[in-house]
Amino acid sequence: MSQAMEMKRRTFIQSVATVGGALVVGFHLPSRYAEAASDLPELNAWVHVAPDNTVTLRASQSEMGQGPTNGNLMMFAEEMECAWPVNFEFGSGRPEYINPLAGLQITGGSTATPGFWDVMRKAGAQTRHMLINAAAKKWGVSADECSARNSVVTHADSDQSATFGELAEAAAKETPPEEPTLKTPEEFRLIGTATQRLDSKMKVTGEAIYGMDVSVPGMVVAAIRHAPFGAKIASYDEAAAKAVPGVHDVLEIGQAVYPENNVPCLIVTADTYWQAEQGLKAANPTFDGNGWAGLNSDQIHQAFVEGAEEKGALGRVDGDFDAAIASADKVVEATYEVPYLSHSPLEPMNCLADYRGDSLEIWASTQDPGGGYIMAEKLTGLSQDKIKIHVTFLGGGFGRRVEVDYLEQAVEASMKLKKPVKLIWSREEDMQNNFHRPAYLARMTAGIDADGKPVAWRHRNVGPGIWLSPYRSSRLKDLFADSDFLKGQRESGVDFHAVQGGKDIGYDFANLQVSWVQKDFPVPIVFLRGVGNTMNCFFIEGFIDEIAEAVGKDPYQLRRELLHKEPRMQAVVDMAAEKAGWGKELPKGHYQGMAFHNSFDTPFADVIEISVRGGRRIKVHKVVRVLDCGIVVNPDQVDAQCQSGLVWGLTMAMYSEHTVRNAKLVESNFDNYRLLRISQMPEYEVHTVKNTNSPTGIGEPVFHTVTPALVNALYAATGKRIRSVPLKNHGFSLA
Amino acid sequence: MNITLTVNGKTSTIDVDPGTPLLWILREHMGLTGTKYGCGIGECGACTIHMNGEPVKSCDRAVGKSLNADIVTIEGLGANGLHPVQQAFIDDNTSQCGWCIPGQIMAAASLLATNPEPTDRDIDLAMKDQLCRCGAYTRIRSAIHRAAKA
Repeated sequence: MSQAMEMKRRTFIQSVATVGGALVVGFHLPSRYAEAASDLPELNAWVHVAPDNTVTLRASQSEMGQGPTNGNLMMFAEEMECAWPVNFEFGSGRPEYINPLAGLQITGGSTATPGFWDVMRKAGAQTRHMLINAAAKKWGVSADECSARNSVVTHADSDQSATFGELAEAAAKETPPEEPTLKTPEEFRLIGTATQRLDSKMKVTGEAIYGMDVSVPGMVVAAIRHAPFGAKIASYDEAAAKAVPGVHDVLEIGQAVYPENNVPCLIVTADTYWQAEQGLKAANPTFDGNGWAGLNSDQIHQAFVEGAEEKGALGRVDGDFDAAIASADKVVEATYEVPYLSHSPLEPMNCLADYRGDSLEIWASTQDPGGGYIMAEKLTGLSQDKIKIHVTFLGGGFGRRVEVDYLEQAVEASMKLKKPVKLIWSREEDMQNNFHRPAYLARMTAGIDADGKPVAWRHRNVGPGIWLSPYRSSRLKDLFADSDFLKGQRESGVDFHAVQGGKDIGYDFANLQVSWVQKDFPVPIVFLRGVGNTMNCFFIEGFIDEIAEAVGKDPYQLRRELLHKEPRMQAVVDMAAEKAGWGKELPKGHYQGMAFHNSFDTPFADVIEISVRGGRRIKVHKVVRVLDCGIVVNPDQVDAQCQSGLVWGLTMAMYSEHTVRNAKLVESNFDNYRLLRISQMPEYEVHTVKNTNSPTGIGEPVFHTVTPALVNALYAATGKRIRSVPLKNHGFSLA
Repeated sequence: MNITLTVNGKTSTIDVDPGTPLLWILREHMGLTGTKYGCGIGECGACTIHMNGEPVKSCDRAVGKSLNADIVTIEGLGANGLHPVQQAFIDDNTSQCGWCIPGQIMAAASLLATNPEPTDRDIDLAMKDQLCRCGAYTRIRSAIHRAAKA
């Protein structure tokens, strides 16, 4: 069945209710992209084929714009030999969908491509074997003599052929080989091609269904207000809320599965979201603070500054840093700092939950249906087979939707109210109750010997730990509490993401120390696109340019020398210098800055060319982006992610900052948490190193090199060394 | 209060609080969920629609101030198939998460209706209030040029 046919079949179940004389029409949108209850032959968890030969593939990984739908399904189709494009659905809740690099059905850590590279190709090949076996049996020939291509199996010798659709029912009974032989890269027909996004048409017509777009009969819509950090609800006016037309319920929620995630909230439900918001305003909730009531950004900064004098827990030690510093000819030291950041995906958090006593259905834009099932099981006491999570399109995720707090709230509300509840956070609730990228401060120290060689490196980070914080942070720390991964962090006292990108630095220093001074605050924190790399790349790459200056070396030459033990990384830096014409003559008033970082096993380098008017106004003329992500599954997607990461990097460099005042985050909407605009989008080009290594992730590595490359260019242009972002705080603007 | 609106060519009268933003009327009363909520204060442009031929942010426009308005949403833009801007966004693989895309397309279609051959600067000016968190700006610009040539 084609997408167009499916659209025609789409049924809107309309329920009509009379509320204050108003006609309210509720719409039921069947979860078209969630697994359909299909009577079509299902060959395995990934695929069903209709008699008309339409192939529908299921995706495990959440589609939040980063393109795993195309990428993962291309891998499958390559081996299955089905025609492209295919129809697709988002699957959930089956063991097959578990991300092998995460242990859950979760999308994050730039693992969608590397995690499913073998899984999808193998399952695709097994599916092809099943179809070929069915054809061979039907024709009484050997399977080895049959071949598949373009959704048809052919036996050339007898000139017979059958479509996958004709074979699907019989094929479903076939047992595929455990370890099918997979294609070599030279045999790829689909992988490596720039395919049209499978979701393009539905996204440009408004037909794509996101969490916020789903409705079910009988549901109420909830608006929510969260208490400030550590505060409790003091009062609210229930009668005033209920006097607002359309309002149904006024309810306190916030009992999370893991107690440190309890956040007292008031929700008001109504027929429509707008009524619910009006009801919430009328309820006028007030909150009692606690010891954190006076918490503000200055206090956090001060704690970091003091922390920089502490030794911290050692994450990595090579050689003898103290001895090397003592005998160094020259010591370079600098302090860098970054603020809290929010993901602020354009679709605010929302979830529809329908708890029916003996079963539970959830519709959500989520990166973590796997964790959602576990949360829902713990919260309701229902076994997971009684729970169904429909994963919709995500209006952005960037790591925020790895948390399932908003699912938890909707389930709790539905349990208490005994009806379906669609919870929608306002933008203000979304920004001010986000789990943030932590603020951080770093004290960077380098020792240079008499020959001008950097021989000692100390990277001391001060800030909160996503895994080790006693306050509200990712509930994955509870979920994986007994894992070796977390036990190791507790024993060493070093948070994995606090030193991510620092501990595993590619540069070679004979004497190296990477340490972490733990300073936790109750501002909720979690993984944001790139996580620890987002700050550590800025600290390291800004400081490398300072060392280059101190030793009188070209920053590119210093980088390539320090990468002498890492040829794959060195090749990326070399390619960036070559493609950007590093060191060549530039137009008058133009300056370049470079940065390199290796994260998620994808080395990445940026060269940014700028000019600065009046010492303040930055114009980015060109950005050259170079990476090695192994086999490029879909070049169009690599380019799109590089485009995206550039915008994220410039936004972070220029504007992004969440400040804390009186235990609340100040920035609340896009008027005071600015994003880059189209007029500021620079020219960019992307170059990938060609090889046949297994693919590595790109969603995160595309982001963090932008900020240091920009501040390094800014130093070349103005002589001002910038060691904290955003640049707006230093008086800079972006043309 | 009773309010009469024409949405995508269909006229209807609804009884609602006149302070309700048009966005929520479209999404919750008419089931037109292609128009998206992003900020509620007219800052991000995800809710852009056409009202009497002009691009309007529907999230902070009270329905009571839209009496007898002729409204077109993303669902009604390509009344006879896809609008050239929609086709160009498909051809350029412009969408990422897609949440801003209906608003981007409505704003771009307005621009092309008055300026069939916009320069980069014209595009930057007309699209300055349309935020894209995924950062697909290069392709939004190229798709608008592509649609202009179509």
